[in-house]
Amino acid sequence: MARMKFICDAERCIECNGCVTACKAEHDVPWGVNRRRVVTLNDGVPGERSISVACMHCSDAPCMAVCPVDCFYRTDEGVVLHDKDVCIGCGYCSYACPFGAPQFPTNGTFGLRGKMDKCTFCAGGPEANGSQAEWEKYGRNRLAEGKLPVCAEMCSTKALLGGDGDVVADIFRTRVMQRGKGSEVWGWGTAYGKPAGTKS
Amino acid sequence: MIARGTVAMLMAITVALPLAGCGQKPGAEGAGAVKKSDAKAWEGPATSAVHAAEGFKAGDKVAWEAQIKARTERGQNEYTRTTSGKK
Repeated sequence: MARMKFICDAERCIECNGCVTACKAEHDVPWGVNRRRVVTLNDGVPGERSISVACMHCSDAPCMAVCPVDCFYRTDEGVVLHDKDVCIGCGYCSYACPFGAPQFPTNGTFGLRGKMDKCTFCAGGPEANGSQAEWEKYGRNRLAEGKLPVCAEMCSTKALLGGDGDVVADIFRTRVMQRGKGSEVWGWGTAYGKPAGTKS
Repeated sequence: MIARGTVAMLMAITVALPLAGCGQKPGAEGAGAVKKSDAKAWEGPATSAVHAAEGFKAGDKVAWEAQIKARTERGQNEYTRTTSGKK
């Protein structure tokens, strides 16, 4: 059985925010809610890195542990989902999550906090697969269509990998072994070859 | 007069307070709701498979797993793609 995971390659992410846009478009996510975000570390400093962050579908999810109404569940594929009909919008999960994944719509008159919304690994929710109710509450269920999350599938540099954890880990491992380190990754060495006189 | 007015106002408040609850909309969802069970991903869409991936047969667990694995490998591992392209 596949165990779904995301991994973001910081060496490849170019902060294009394509994953964020694709996610919002695919699931018609409301204003103020970002299921996925691109975080830049050391912005403006040489060597800055960006990573795309969303729910990591933790194996021992802290959101599940703290939820007072037990609205979370884990699918056979290891995807952490929640039932919006049970969620009371208390926000405990957002305090517990180390990735800031839980989001709350604030489109009410006084910015009231609605029911929690988060990345579903494009696996919808507890409503019937592909139903209108599932679409309205959780967005599209691509996993039930035999597809992977749209953010990973459309990533232009393939920085964001998503899918079966074993396969994704193999892809990343192969990549790291092939590209080397330092300037070998994307720098001068990759573009123009190694300077003459250097040992390979 | 002042005392009678105050008493009348207190009585009005006493009556109005319990009635104020009547205007509240019933909480159809939220606390007390029972968590639903989710269908398996490999069972496919319940309605139509218009958007289903090409070659994917809904309801076949083995086919679904193979589809997901192939999609992960083929779509995201350019080392495999470039190597197979050279052959």
